[in-house]
Amino acid sequence: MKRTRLRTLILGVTALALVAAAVVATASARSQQGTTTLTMWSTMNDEENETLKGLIKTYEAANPGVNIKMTVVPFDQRETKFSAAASAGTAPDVMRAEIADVANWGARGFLTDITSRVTAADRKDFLPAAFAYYNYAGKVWGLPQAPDAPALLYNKKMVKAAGLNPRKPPQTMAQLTAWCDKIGSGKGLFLRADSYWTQAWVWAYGGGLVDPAKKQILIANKPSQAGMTEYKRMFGAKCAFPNRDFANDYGNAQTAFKNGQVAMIVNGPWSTADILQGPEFKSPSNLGVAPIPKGPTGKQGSPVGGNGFVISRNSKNVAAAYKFIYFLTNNAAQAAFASKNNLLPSRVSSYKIQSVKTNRIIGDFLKQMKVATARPVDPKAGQIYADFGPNVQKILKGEVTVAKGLNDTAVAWKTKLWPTYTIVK
Amino acid sequence: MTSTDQALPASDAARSPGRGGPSLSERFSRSFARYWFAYAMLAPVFLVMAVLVFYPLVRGIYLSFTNADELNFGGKDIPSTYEWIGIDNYKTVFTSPELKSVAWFTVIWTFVNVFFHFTIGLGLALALNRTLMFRGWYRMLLLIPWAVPSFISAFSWRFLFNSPYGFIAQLFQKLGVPLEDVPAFLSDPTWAKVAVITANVWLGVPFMMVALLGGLQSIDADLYDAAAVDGANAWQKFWAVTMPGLRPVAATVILLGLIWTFNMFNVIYLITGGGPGTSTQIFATFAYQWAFVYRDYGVATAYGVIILSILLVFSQIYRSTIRRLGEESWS
Repeated sequence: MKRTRLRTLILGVTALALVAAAVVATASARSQQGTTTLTMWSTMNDEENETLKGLIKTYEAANPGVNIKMTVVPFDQRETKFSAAASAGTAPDVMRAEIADVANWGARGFLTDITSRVTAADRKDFLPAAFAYYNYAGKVWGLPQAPDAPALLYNKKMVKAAGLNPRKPPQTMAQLTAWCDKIGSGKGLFLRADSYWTQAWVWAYGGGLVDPAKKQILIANKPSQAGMTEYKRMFGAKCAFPNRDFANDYGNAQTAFKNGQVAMIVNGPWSTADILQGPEFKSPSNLGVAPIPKGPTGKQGSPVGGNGFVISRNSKNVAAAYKFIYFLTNNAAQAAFASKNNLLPSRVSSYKIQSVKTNRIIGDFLKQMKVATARPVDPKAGQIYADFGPNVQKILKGEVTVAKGLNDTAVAWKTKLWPTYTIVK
Repeated sequence: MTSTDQALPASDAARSPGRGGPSLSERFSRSFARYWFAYAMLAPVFLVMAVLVFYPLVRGIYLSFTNADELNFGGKDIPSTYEWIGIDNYKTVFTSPELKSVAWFTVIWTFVNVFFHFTIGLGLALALNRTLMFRGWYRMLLLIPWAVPSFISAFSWRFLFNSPYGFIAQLFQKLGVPLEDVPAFLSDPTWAKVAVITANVWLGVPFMMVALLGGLQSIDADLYDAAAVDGANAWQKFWAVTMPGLRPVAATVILLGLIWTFNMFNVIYLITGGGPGTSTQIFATFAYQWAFVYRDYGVATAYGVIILSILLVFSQIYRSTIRRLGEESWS
């Protein structure tokens, strides 16, 4: 009994080893036939990844022998995961990077410089506001895909029911307050307890974050304080949807808006595919998009963000990788993301495509883009929210005054990020 | 150790160091000749420990004295350019404005959690230690929090706490409590502390329960009979028999619990992320914040070294307590 079992075991192991050897042999034979495998990490949301998968199929069909291996990495883990992989030398060929990542990864030596590959015609075709983030230290580190800026989104039906004209969205912060009050208690506006979202208010009141040219930190100055004070007032206003959950408030704002529990939210183009799946927006025309209103002195802003594609320093196939990211940022791909996900194209020429031109949501967001504010291009610029965020939450909960919260932020930026800058009061 | 001393040859025992014993190298070579097999058996473990524990430990301590951050850290074939800066990182830690609140909440977090782990665990263990119907089933059900991966539990709690869409907020509203009177678990600094502690208490009770149940079952039943003969009531039996009988087990699990809870990272990280503001940051999550949000590896490793030092004190207490309880095999 025992011996037969042993023999079976030996036979089994031998068979397994043979199969494994055969698999390895065929795999290596196949790779010798000129197959190029490109690895890619996508940070897109579910709806966008569906579009991306379709584009990858198209690309593989058009380029026999090229095999794209796409992995989805959650957006908020991209930095940690990519940095770890790049410092260990195992980063994917192609990475989808948020604009703040580009200068940072470029400065850390994680990316392949693609300056010589980008033609003059392409440089001209990319929107300057979007392409600026991909230029750092005189080199080009990637291609922009979708620039974005959060705008004011509103439910036209609810606005109309409150006796307001949905065709004339609020132009000033005072009008926004009037709209909110008119729509009614707890249903007017959902504001997030997130520093990124407060920036539009800071800029509308004439404040700022940092000025790299003058080496100044502006977040604690009087106009910034005025903007934050107004944000805090709106956040706690009776007409505002009670934001009782800072850990889940992105999802909660979406849920409340999709279900008609709140009439206005602030969010970017990336969120619209999800919103349009909500019961309130069965008819997409019910979604109104307007620029975030102006402050008392007529200033206006919204943080320009967005994503694009970079090639890691670990890529063994830079030419193939460039060809692929070029494909992902050319007009056909831009049109696909525009029509399926309402993402704004990063190329001027894409806006001439019929499906982009007639996309109302893109047109509305473009109005916001025109009055949006660029974030500083600096390797440390992405980290400003690390201290800004907790301080904004403390301000909104009344744990600290606006002045103290913003001053703490400024001091943290000076000590941790820019020791040579001066804090403007 | 006494047994090995006795096993040594008499000549060794006679030579005390004061009377010119063998030199260190001599002693080492003799012990090597005698125990080479034991050393050979230990070598693989030592090697693994060296790679996984000692090297990272030494490197971490070294980094805490440098200005290492993401921009100068380098990587595989990227040169590193960070420099030695002495104790500056420790100064940063001890002068940081958040230190006081982080330290306070670390203390509250650790002791409140372990207090409830122990009392609830003990209560359940006592309940399960008597003969009752379906005891096996209760025991299995009560073990579930322990069996579920902690990140899944943490996410589930985050869904439960969601306001207004989570289960707790919905339940209160169904019961007629207006939403503004329902605690805002994840936006109010105090309730957020309650929320993360509640979730962690739920997670930690089963371990205490199982450990204490084992302790209860090892108490001699004759002692209870004797107490009954002496006319002791239930409360007196509990204080005079159960508690002393449980002491060795209880001391061990409480000290283990203190160390684990002190270092418990995922519950806070996944439920509140340290927020709102910095109200639920403990040392373990704040060190992560420095490493992966501020990306200042020097200060982050300084936090790591401080955490290690605190835990060394803990484990020293742990060892001495165990020794006092006379379980030398554990030390």
